[in-house]
Amino acid sequence: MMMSKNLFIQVAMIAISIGIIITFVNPTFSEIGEQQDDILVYQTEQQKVSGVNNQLSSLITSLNNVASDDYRRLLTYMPDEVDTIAVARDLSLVSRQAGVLYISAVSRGVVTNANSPDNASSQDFIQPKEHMFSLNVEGTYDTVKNLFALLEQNNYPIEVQNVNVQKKGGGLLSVEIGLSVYAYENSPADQEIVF
Amino acid sequence: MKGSSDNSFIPKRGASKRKQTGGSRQIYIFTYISYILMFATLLSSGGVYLYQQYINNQLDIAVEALNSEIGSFSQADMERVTQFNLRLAQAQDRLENSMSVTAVFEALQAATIDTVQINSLAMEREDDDRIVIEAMIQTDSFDSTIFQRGVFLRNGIIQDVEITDVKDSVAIETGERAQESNARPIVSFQASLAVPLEQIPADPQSYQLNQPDVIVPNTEIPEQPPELLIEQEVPAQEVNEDTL
Repeated sequence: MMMSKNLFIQVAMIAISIGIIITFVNPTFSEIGEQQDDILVYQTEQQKVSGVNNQLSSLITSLNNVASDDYRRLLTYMPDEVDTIAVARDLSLVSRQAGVLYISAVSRGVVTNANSPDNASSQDFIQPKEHMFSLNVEGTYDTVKNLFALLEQNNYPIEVQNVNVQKKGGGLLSVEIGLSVYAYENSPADQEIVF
Repeated sequence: MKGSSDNSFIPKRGASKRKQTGGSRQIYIFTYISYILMFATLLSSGGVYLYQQYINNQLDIAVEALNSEIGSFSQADMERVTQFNLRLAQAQDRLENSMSVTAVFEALQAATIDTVQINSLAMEREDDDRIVIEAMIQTDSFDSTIFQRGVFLRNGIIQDVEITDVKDSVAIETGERAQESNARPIVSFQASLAVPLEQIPADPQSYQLNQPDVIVPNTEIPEQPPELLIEQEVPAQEVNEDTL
């Protein structure tokens, strides 16, 4: 009788042990494994964010070290907005400096399809905003060439898109020039980063 | 009377006196195993519980560290850098795709023979790839036309030469007196030429070396060539380097 009671207790202990292992130890081990994986993920992400922060800090330092004169030149070369009146004035001044007869300089508006979805897929980055101008002048071959040379030397890009040269009497040429002036186009994807 | 079996030297074995020594030994091992298992389970349960608490703590630390790192990220700095980078990239792109119309004229000059006269010229930039030139050209003979075509084809800068609409006619030039008239043959044709942009890049550094001050707008009235001295209003304007 005593022997069977001991046996029962021993069997019960084994059963309880197995029960504890199944219901507590094993699930807890699995949970610990998942938490360890989570810790690894958090640590990896933290290292990534830390790397971004370090790189950003380094870039900000580089940015702060850009000479103010260079930064001003960059803003002149690629301004936030194109002042169409100022460009027309510059074209007039450059024309007179080149020695051609200035007829007119007219703004033809903004090219809107540069960053259209069709084009955006084939481009690596956002194209600047393109403003079109039309410049009409008259002059000799040499003065017209001089005009183009001066346009190429401007402190912001005045790109020649098309030229139409017609002969006039007295060795003069009538020249109609289509020009592009660019302004900085901000990325539409510049939105707040949410982690 | 005693039987013959009582006299046997072989001891008799009673069934009730038999000891089950093997059975009690099995129970002892089983007990031993059950106790070990029980204690091991209890110990491992405690250990697992404590280790879980430790891991939870480690997870909290990792989350806290990540949140702290994220909190130190500056959105404003990032926007400042990306905007500067984009502006720089856009400026560089335009600079790399800049081209010199003067170089086109120079190339045309070099590729035009003496007997040829260009009556009209149209240039069109095709994206950032090339310049297409359509020129109405006049010369004195078919031979000159053929020679001109050969010069265009041999030119290193001009590509995709196409000569079309070749027409011959006669031009009558009237002299000082009405009776004097001179007829001369004319062959006119249209030349379609293409010049890749990489052949005619603008080189701002060469301009800076040659003419450092030329980009500054000047309010003074420039000297006009004699044939362009036409009355025109010149408004007084202020000099402003920052034109935009």
